Amino acid sequence: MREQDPVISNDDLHAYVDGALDPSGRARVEAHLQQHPEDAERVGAYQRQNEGLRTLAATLDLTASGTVIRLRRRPLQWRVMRALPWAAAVAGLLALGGVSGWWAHGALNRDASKPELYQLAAGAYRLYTVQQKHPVEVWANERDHLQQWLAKCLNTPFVAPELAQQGYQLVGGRLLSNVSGPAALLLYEGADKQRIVLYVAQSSAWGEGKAAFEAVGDLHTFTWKNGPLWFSLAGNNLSPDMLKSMAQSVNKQELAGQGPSAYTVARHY
Amino acid sequence: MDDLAQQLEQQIPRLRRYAMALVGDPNRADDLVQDCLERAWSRGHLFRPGSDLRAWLFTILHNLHANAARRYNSRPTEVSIADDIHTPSTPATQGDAVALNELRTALTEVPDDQRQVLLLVGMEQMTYQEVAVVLGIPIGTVMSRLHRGRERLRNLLGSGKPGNGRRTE
Repeated sequence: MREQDPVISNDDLHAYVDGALDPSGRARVEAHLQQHPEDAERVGAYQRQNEGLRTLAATLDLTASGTVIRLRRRPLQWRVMRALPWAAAVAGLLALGGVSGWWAHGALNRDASKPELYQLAAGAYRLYTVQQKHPVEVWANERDHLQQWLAKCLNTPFVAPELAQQGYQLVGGRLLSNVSGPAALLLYEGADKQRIVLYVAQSSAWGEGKAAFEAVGDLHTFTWKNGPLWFSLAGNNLSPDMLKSMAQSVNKQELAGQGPSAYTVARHY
Repeated sequence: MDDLAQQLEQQIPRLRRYAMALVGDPNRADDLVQDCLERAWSRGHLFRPGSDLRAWLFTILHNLHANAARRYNSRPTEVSIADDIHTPSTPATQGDAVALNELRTALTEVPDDQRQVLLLVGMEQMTYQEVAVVLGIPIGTVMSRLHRGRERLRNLLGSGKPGNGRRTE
């Protein structure tokens, strides 16, 4: 086929696929493709490969977002901390999004003696979101103090994430105790005064496990692990998309929160 | 140096993503990224401010990868890419998901040098010139590897049997 049209080379076809041609080059290739369906088919296949690779990139980004890489103080090294169930959660979520009946209705209880994190989150939701005067111990106007305090209690860098993008403002937070040690609760409020909570517990105390959606009546929760912390989001009738969006925001901000610490450590050299 | 630390940090997600696609195994990818960052940090004085940090880091990562591959004389990839990502059994967009799995498998069947070019162009969306710089090869070699890689992938995906043709080239 190249012999028939020496003006258009394989390189041209690839450059066309990758958007590396100027308008006149594009026009030449397009004219060629009109006349050569077998080349058009090849170009189509290459384009689908590129699309596939970009989708794969997005999938890998989600995996990478559950990982924290930090500069270690001594010896001079970057350290990778792994946190994986997140990727599985998101993959499952993408698969299930929009499908009704995918909530797990508490059937996954493995160890009856120990409550599941989503149950703790649900309990905290019921207790604290209805409080008018004392829903939190530290209010959002003391955000820095709140973060430092909770980070100290949880013994890990911690950011009280913004969920403004999803329409929720931080009201404040409190320290809690559960069967495995300290935990934190952040409370958010939407424009319609609907409240949601983010329950935060230590990975060291809760170990490994799969991220999961659970529903307790109308209360929808999503629980996942990211590095040193487990998170459980709970809110009334929160949609899968909303939970996904919030969880991604939380992960992103926690990751960024770990990031600056690498920066500050780096400054000591 | 502070600036460099901050800039390195910004590149981590992309490095990691690429390393995972390149070597397939998340643990090996993490090791590679970590080594890359250490080397970049220790040689920070060699980096000229204003030049392309991403290209520099990708070059370092590639050299390390090539060294490791030589040292272990390992097969191009042992494990399917990101195999710790749970693949839903009933995906909402089944056609796409199936295709993505096939693509992952097929990528492991593409020779290392071709896969690098495929990923840098298709996934990282670098220009051919950037790829030539990163890999330290002439642009003509970039184009021929790109062509062979894409054709290889096309055959693998077209046949629906990724195992076919493993050693036929």
